[in-house]
This record gives sequence, structure tokens and C-alpha cells, in this order.
Amino acid sequence: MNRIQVLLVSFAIWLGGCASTGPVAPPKVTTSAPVPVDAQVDIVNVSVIATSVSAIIVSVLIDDRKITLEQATLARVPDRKRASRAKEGEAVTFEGMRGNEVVSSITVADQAINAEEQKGLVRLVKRSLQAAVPAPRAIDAIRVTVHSNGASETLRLSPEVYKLCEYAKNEPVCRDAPRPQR
Amino acid sequence: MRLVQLLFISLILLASGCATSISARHDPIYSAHAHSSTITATATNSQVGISAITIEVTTGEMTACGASFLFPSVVPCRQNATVVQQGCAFVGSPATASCTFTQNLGDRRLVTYRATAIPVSGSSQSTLPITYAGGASLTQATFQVPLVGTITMPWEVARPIAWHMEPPTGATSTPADQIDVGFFPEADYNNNYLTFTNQLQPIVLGVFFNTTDAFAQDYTLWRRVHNLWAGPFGATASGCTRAFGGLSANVAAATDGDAIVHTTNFRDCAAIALGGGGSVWAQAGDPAWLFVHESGHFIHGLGDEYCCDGGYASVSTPRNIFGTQVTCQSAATALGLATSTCAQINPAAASPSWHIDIGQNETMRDRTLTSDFRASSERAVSNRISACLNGSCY
Repeated sequence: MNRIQVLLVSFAIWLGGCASTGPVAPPKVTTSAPVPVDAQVDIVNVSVIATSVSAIIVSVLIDDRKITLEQATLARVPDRKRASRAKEGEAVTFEGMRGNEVVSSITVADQAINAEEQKGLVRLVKRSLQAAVPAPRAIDAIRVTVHSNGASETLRLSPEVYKLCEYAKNEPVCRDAPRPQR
Repeated sequence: MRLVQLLFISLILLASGCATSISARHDPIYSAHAHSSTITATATNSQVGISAITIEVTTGEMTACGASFLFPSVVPCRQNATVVQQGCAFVGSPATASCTFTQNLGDRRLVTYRATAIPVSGSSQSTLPITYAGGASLTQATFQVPLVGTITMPWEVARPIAWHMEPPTGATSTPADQIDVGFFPEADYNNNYLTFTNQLQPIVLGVFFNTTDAFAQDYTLWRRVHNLWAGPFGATASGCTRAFGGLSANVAAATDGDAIVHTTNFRDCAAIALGGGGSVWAQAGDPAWLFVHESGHFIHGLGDEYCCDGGYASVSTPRNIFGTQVTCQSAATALGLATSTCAQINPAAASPSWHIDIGQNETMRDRTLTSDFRASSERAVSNRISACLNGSCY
């Protein structure tokens, strides 16, 4: 077969497809019996285990230069490994501290600058921010720094944050965690 | 053109003509009550036709990962799951075919599905696995502690509406390459979570599953880059003041952008930030458009482009609001646009702001379903998606 013939055959196949565009007859449907899934290979669990880290989730209230801790919780959160989500615009940095050592940090967008529809720009002096501060090991305080005005506060964590460590002494975050008083 | 080149092109056309595509989605998109859930997969092969579609569905109990960790997880795990495979075999080689799977979901259900299209000839195509929640969410975390027994604590997880299990950059990537969007009920729902989820449905469908309206085309096209979550009660919004109390704060900390959905009519407001929060009035006539506009502020850092009372600031890349004509013209040139596209937004202001106007409806300016992100706004959104595809959205 020469090249022209090959070409023509190819076009003929392409143009003369055999898919039907008319009404579709009801399909023959088969449904398998349910099969148990081992939790260890369940795609959801595999994903969460592979991509989550221990963290202290904090909610802070920033009121101009005053920063207060509203709540703190030890939990597993998705590990984003982001350098920063606030390379542009105003930002707030949360640093996990162990004594004077910075154990971890995360920078999130400050939410001071707002657009209120049909009103205009609104700068919030008082706003609430949430952040998940990675805790590869125990941290006893969170240092919060507001980039726009330089305000900084070190917020001490209550030992109660680590109350679950009573049952998880071998977890890295629990090995030298503050012990809640009984 | 040489014959060999023609042959090559014809073979490419031949191959493209045989391409199989498949999409799937679940309905309702999210319901926190026991309900019947249907997964519909639709496949197309205009050349040789579709032979069969299979839907693999894994369903189990949503947990706070107490079997894996001794701390609760914000993102749920699953236990006691079973997998079912439904097959639909077609006769007559239809060019387009659909297969549905329906099941009743009780409380605390977590479902993952993946659909595969098998053409009459050629290779099959599969969707990426998607996970969603159904039924009432869990309200406590449970742990089995050796020698101690079962311990519990109050807890809420982020409830997946559409959780793309295989991130866009592949199985080895981290959650950094997806934009996690949380939807939270404002306190004005008065603990009526059913009303919240009912009103959430048209917003999510109108934004992320909408191939009709221009304003939704970016989010619909790049849906897989976004994970959508519903949060528990605890969020409040009033004007520009937003707060996440109680367990809702944990979910808000784990997401990139948070929309507080409210029923009371007040002017919506959003942070102009690369990751932040905003409010969306669910009972507006166009809540999906409102979400896209507000998320332009709090996910992409865009400013308003309408006259004369908008928020004229931006932190997007590139900016869409400019303080001077010169910086606007420089940005227009960088985008390959004429400098004459630069226009004042608010000419009567003491210091007018500038934007690029290419004469088409712009989502940050025009409240119409035919709007889209244009010019610098479009580039900023595209850059964010590209950053996700390159491994880190922010």
C-alpha cells in the first residue's frame, strides 16, 4: 500500500466512525456484592495519614496591637508545606515556640483589608484569625507577629491543650509536652 | 505539505476522534440528612462509541481518624467500608452513554467513587476518585486506648462536598496543590443545618458544575484543583466582621478560603487577601455569582472594579487595581493589551483608581451571569491555578 492509500484509509476510518448518535438502549446493569475494604488500604485513610501532621490549631483576636488567644486545640491537619500564602499583601506569622526556640511557623493572610460591597474599603482594627501551627514536637507558646504594625505577642498554651497526650506518650508531640494538672 | 506529514496529521486526527471522555458527579451535592444519593457517570466517544461504564463506589463510616491517631483529625477518615462495582453494558455503540448508581445514605457516611469508560475499541478512561459526605456529621471523636478503653471528646470534622483524592500534581504531592474552600452556615440559620445545605446546593452547582454561564467557567473547568468542604455551626458574619467560634475554628484553620453563607440580607464583605474569608447571601437571586465575586477577593486578592463605592485595592498577581494611569498602562502592556484599555474606575474620587477594561463584562465589576474574570483578573486567577498545578497554590 502506498502512502496515498494509507492516508485515504486513515481518513476513511476517521470519517466513517461507527458510533451511534441515536437513542441509547437501556444498558445491562450489573452490581457486584459489597466487598469489605481493609481500613489500612482505604484511599481516604491512606491519604489522610500520608498528608496530615500534628498541629496546634489556634484562634486569635487581633485588636490593633493587642493580640489574645481565643482557643487552642491539638489535632491532625493537612500538611500544606507552604512557604507562605501571604507573599503579597498584609500577613500574620504564627511561630510555635519551645522555650526560646522556634519549632515551626506558618504565615497566613491578615484579613484587615476588606471590600464591603457598595461601601468601599474597610480596614478592620479588630479581627479574628485562625491558623494551624505545625507541632512536630511539643510547643509551649505561640508567637504571633502582625506584619503591618509590627505588633507581636507570645501566647502561652495551657497544658490542657495536651490532655490527650496522657494516652499518647510516644507521639513526638507528646514526649516532652506540658502535663495538665489533675 | 509532504505526504508523510499529511499521514501524520491524519493519524493524529484519527486518534483524537477516538478519544474517550468521562465525567461523573453525585446528587445531591451535599445533604446532612439521611437521603438517597445518585452518582451519574457520562462517557463520550464520538468515533467508535461506548461499550461499557463502570462505577466503583466505596462507602463507609466517617470518623475523626481515632483508629490512626490519638488526636482527632480535621479531615475525616473512614471505617467499616465496603466497595461495590456497578457495570453498565451498552449495545449499539452509543456515542454518549450514562450509567447511574443510587444508594441510601444514613448518618456519618463517607463515599468515594471513580467511574471508568470503556470504548468499543481503544483504551479506557477513568475519572479521578472523588469523596463526599452524607447524612448527619459526627459530633464526637472516639479513640480506643490500650489498657484504658474508649475515650471520646466533642469534635467536628470538615465534611467533604467534593474532595479530589488524587491531587492535580499526582499521588506524591501534598495538599498544597489544591485550594480548599470551606462553606460555613452563619448563625442566622438558627441551627437549621438542612436549610443551609439546601441553599448551599445551588451555590456549589452554580459555581463548580456550571458549563452554561460565563462567570463560572474558570471554577468549573478547574474544579479538580478545588476541594470543597462544609463546616459546622460556629461562624458569624456581620458587615466585614467575621468570627469562627467553637469547633468551626478548626475547620477554618485548615482551609484556604472560607465563605460564611447567610440568610439575612446585608452587604457582603470579603478580605482582599490570598486566602481569607468572606460572606455570601444565600437568598440573593444569584448566590453562585456572589460567591465567585467574593472569592475573587478572598481567594485571589482581587479588588472591585465597579464605580464608585467598591473596594479599590488588590494583592493579586498581577494586580487588577492600579493607583495611577502609568502603572495600569504598564500592566496592560505586560498582558499584551493596548494602553488605551486603562480606564478610571471612579473618576470623581480625589485619587481615582485605575483598571483594565477590555469592553466585556467583568466579574469584579458587572453583576451578570455573562461576566467572567477578564484581563488582569483573568491572568491573576490563571496564575493561581498554574501555581497549584506547579505544586503550591500559595
